[in-house]
Amino acid sequence: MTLFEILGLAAGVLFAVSAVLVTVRMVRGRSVLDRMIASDVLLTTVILVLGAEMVINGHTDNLVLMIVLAAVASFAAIAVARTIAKQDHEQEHDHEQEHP
Amino acid sequence: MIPSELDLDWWLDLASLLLILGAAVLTLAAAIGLLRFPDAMARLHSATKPQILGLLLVIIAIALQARSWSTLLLLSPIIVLQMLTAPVAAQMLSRAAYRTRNFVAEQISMDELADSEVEVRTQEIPRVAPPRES
Repeated sequence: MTLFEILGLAAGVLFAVSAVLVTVRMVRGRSVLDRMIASDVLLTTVILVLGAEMVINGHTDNLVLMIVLAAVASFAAIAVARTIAKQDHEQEHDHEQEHP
Repeated sequence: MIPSELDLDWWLDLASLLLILGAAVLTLAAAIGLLRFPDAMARLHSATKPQILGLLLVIIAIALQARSWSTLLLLSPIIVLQMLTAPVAAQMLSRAAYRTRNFVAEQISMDELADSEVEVRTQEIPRVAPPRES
């Protein structure tokens, strides 16, 4: 193995281990926000892996995919955060109605 | 393996692979932080490391490896879009975390919203409020 192959393999192994750990957090969760943060990190890992694959294999085919993913990556987090805030207000409203 | 004379292409490829390795280390640090940190705000803190710095390293690596102006033109909107949208998402997630009390209050050194309207409105949520002494 050449030096470049070793470096690329090490980066791939690190990315794979990170994806597995993030998936563990997404499954265990404990709240919707933790799962959403883990999902955000997993999407960032996908973007980084697309770029790393282009560098290792020496082409530029994934650039458009990286642009689209970077543009829409935050939509899911914003939507979930707004939904949680609305649930929060509804719970508070019900609570105030029960105990005025 | 290392060339005897200064070979610019070889060194640029080596630098791009080292940058990729750095981004992979940052991603692993974020994953370990996601597993180890106790609350949503600390996890958000660790999650933002590969979003900006890791992506910047990967983009510099692609620019060093491709070495063409058209690739650089396609690379610039990636980092611009990510820098514009990632703080918005992080701010909204942390606000939702604060409103649902998804943080360990003892680990916060300063709570500037402690006596604001948000705190007063949301501290009576029954399901996620901390247990009272009564």
